[in-house]
Amino acid sequence: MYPFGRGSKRLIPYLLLLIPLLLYVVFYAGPSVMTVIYSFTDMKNVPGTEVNFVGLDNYKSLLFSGNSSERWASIGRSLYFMFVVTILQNGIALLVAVVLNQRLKGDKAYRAIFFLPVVLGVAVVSLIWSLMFDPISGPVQQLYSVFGYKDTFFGSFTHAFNYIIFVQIWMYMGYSMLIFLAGLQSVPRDLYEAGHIDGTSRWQAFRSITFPLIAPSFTVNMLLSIIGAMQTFDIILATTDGNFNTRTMAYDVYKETFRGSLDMGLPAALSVLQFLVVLVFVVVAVKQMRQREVEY
Amino acid sequence: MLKRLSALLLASSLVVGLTACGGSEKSADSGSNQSGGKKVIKMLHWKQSNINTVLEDINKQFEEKYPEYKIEYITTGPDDEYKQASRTRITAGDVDIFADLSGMRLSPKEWTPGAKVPDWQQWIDSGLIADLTGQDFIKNYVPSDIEQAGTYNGKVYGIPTGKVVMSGIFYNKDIFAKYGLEVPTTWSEFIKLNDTLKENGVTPIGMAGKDVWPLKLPAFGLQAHILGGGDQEKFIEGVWKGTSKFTDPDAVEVLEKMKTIQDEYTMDGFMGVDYGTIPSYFATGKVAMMPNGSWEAPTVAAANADLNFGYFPIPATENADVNKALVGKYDMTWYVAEKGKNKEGAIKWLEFFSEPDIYAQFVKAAGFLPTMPDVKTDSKFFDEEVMPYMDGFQLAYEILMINRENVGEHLAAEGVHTEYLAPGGEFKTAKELAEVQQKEWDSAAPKQ
Amino acid sequence: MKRSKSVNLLSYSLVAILLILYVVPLLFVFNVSFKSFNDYLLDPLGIVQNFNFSNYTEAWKQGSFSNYFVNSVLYTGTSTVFTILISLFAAFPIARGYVKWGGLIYFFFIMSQFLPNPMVSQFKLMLFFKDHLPFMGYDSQIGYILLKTSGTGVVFMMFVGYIKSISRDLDEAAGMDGCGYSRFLLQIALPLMKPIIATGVILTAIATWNDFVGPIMYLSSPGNWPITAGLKEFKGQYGNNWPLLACGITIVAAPLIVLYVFIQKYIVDGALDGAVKS
Repeated sequence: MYPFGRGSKRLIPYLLLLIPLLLYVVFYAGPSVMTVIYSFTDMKNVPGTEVNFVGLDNYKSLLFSGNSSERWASIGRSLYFMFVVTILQNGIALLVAVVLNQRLKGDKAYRAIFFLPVVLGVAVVSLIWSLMFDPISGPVQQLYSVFGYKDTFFGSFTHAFNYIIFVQIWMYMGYSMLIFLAGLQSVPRDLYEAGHIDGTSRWQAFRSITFPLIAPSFTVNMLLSIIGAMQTFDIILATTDGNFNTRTMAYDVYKETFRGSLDMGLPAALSVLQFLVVLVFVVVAVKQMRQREVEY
Repeated sequence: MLKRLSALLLASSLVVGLTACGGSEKSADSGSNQSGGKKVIKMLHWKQSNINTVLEDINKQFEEKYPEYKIEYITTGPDDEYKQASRTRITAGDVDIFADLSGMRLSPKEWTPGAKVPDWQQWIDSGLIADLTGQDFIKNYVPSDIEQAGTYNGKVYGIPTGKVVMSGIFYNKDIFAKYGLEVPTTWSEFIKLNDTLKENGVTPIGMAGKDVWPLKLPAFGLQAHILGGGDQEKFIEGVWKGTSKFTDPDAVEVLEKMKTIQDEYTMDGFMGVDYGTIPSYFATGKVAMMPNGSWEAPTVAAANADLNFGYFPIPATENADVNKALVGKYDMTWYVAEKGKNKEGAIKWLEFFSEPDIYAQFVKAAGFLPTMPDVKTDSKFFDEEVMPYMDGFQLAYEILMINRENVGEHLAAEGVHTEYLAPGGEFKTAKELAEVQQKEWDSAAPKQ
Repeated sequence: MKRSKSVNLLSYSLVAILLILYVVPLLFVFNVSFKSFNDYLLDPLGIVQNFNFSNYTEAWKQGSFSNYFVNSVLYTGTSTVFTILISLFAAFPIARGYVKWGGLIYFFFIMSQFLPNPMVSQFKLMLFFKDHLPFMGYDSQIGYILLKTSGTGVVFMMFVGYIKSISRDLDEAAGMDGCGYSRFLLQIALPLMKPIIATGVILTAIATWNDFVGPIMYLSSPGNWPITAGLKEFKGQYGNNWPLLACGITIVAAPLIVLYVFIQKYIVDGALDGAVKS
């Protein structure tokens, strides 16, 4: 049992645990709960105004008022973002991880480079791609014009959102890749050797040997990208600022909190809606993954 | 080796942490309004280099004259970022004097049930803005300007520092001369001029679509002269009362003319170009014309001192007499925060700013038309290019429009939103956009 | 394991394509950063001929980076160290079962990943602190550091997984020798967790150093702004002067890249184990 003494000494782990707990409750969990409460009030971002409970009014005005079609569009865009990012990012990352796991020459350098965008951060990455995607003098435009194609990139209603998705995947692919690699490295090599001698095909080997073993990293990656994609707004803020059909739920929360009307109840309600959507997908994803892990 | 390195790293970051804690006590101090025995005035403004420079200079003069004060001049990015910063700070009581992007926009009327209440009005109603009524320096300004842009419920709250013109087009005189072109006074002359430029391989117009709002500037000219048969206030009241619609021929005409400009004569890829880039295109002769606000004249001149450029109002209609009136707004307006730490200092500063010779320094550098009588701007650009068109000056649609709460994105921010037109946007024709606008307007009506 | 040639070729071509996608943008920015504005306008893509090193001093000055740099080092250093320490305080007893209801607390902490966005009330909270505990409220450095410090996020999750893989015998032996709990954590457990700590350090440092949204919301005095504010300063004013902005990008990115180069070995050597195991 607890090997570090008895009596009052037994309390030390509790005391130390209290620090993160307190920080968490004060700065995170507490405000989260308060947000739920605010979502039922008409609180304004103006000191000294009175606060009343308004029931579901904020939710009604979000989902069933003049501009709620835009809310639905934001929700739809969030889901699209989530699906595309989760599938492509993890698909590419898994492929790259499997490839790098074959001990290619210089594999460590490649890994380091693919992870680099995570280190650079959103502000820097967005600026880099704004420069690459400059519609007049950017290199990508020059490349396009070879094929006689033109685009306005982050200023295009039809493509801006996809370019943002591209940047998001470019940025976080390395992160998913590392998690897959960590999983792959836990697969003993002799398992493959055995499989190879048996004459199993590569794909069969992957399906029956590798995949079950990396299933946990798969779960982690899925959850991280679902949650991450649903909560991303900084990249949108830094590239299009929500213009050109690129608003998502997460962006709307930020926008309504700090730049919309002075109403605080509305963004609070929006936060709660966002939470509900994330919750649904996380629960579904976890269920799916669990089944898979059991299956093998 | 690595063991030592990581130990070193951890140790050094710990040291940084410790010294940091020492440092932050000092800065927590600056939260109070004392700094070396001086009373701090916190002033908030957005980045606009010509105005920033002159204000820093005025602040220095103020600190020399009143050594008991120290001004903390804080600037943030323009537009939305500024909106966010000013809101946050006013809410936090963390500012003494701040600028708003324009004079007071119109507040709801009795015929606008369920209208959006502008921020400034909510702030005043909640007692966050200082009442300046009766201050002596207000007399220095043109009474009608204070009345129109700084007065609410009979009390003065804001000081509009100048007017700007928004509906004009900068043009490169050398390019015009080269092809024998003259300043157009009617829409068809304007179209002909654009065609001539195009035939000669010159890109006629540079505009910044990525920030969206610059597209509103030429549209303001079109709206003022076309909507309601040249009376846009009639149109605005009409859409509230149901006597006019966004699908009326006049409203569609505005959209169509903008579409023509965007599709036919504006440089390729303009929807991806940001506002800061456009003046360099104009100044280097890559485009012949640039619809932009009068405030951009100093920037253009700075970008290319040798450039020979002029300014004309966008000719909205076939009637040259109507077309020549420019459209604009009251720009940067000062408000004093009631709940700041140094309201008295802020008023003192405003009084200093309002001395005619100080104000003159400001207005010259800012490129505004003065709101003080008898102040000369000494600007050749204003005297020759803008003043001839100032008779019948009108306020822009975005100032006059009273919007509905929760109105859809194709009408939000009191805009025309021609960015939604093809090829950039989804609407192939002006009519389609207009129909969506009217639909959004109707569905934002308060439920009975 | 033997690989067929075609698989080899495929593998290398995939890596090659990705390398182009990942390296070219960075080189491009670096290249632009040395051009004069005029050179850039005339030929944005060409390889730089005349190196304008003065761009960097110019950018450093115009972005007021020297003011912001110190702040960023402060925020990043403290929030990283605190995050590592308190994540350990949280993860160790839970992973070992030294506290009651460990599983419940673990779940409670993990929820931080998808609780309703607390932005709205965090802002209110910081304003409240400003009035009552100004040293840690809105627009205070300590308040911002506390906001960026968390013992319950991804680092905590990775720690729990990793600690489970450390043998319990160590605890027993140390306890037998009379070593106290906190001493054990700092002197024995912490050094053993080096790879996972390296990962924790880089992830936390990234989150704080590159944060450009938090400072806009919670730090209003220029004296408190971090390095990303310097970048913003460019965007507002010199947005069109790409060479200077490219310098700004390089200046902001360089310190973390250096840190990354030093500790990336740990990260790629399977340090993310923890995340997978938990």
